[in-house]
Amino acid sequence: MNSIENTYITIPLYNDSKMILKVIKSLKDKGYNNIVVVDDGSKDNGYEVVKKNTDVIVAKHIINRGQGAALQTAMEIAIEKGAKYIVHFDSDGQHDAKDIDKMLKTLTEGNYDIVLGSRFLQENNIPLSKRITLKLGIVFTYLLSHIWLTDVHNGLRVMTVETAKKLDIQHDRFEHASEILDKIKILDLKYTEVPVTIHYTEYSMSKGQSIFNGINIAMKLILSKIK
Amino acid sequence: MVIQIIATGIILVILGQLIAKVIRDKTSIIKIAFWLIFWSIALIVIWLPTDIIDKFGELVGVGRGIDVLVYFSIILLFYDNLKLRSKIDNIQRDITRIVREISKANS
Repeated sequence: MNSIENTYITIPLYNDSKMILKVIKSLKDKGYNNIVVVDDGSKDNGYEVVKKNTDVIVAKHIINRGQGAALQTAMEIAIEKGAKYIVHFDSDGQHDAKDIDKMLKTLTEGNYDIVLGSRFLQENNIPLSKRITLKLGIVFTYLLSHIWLTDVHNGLRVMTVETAKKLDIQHDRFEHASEILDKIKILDLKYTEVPVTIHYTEYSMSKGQSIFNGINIAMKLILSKIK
Repeated sequence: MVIQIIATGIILVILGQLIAKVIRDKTSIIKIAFWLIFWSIALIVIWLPTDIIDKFGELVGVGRGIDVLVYFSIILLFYDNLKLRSKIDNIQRDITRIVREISKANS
């Protein structure tokens, strides 16, 4: 059975003060009241905006440490608060709160350890450059982590608290997405993908990863493997 | 000849600094023993007759002896770079841990 009361939504926040209230509202409208926002040393006033206008749990990194680091902080707070299920959710408005329901349902009914969102399993108007970068990411992830997915850099994930404890994200920056997949394979976690909606707006696209960033991430991952 | 004298001067300064470090901090002798040995060998090598170095070069299949030294230096620098990266990563991880603890304490 889905337990919305024990589900914690973790949101790393970086320079998204314009969007975050909208994102929090969309989650609350769906009944998700346990929300942990971690402001990752934003240059804007995201932390104050959330603190002043909402009743969600909000923490702040005094300096920027990266999305992976902020997610790990948010997860640790959620675990301390007694979370049973943990959701990774982006702050830029790309994700859709309605997808969490079906992901949670899949997780609990299928006895999965983690459920990953995939934008390629349903119709999404994915821009060509993004499509190419993501497809290259799929091949790269397979070569490095031996795990074949339809979408490797989707930030929408739902997992059990036991999985969250095991994941223990070590990569502070964007490499954390590949680290999670690596650990799914290493820890032999039961996983599946669920189709999700991604809202490509001018705003979210301006914040997304370019192919050059993708190459940079790939280099860091290769280096971390040979160390 | 001039280059050998310059190199000897530089190596002697480095060796002097290393020895001063050992005198100052006796516990660091094992840590810097590698560099003491390395620079001492370098000092000997630069005063060896060229044909001996070249013979060594031929032995390892590189040709000129000086090329062996250059290749060796590149390998050493590469290794040092990797070690440095690893050290920086550890420091970064520690910084994140501190930032996280402060953040959690204030949430």
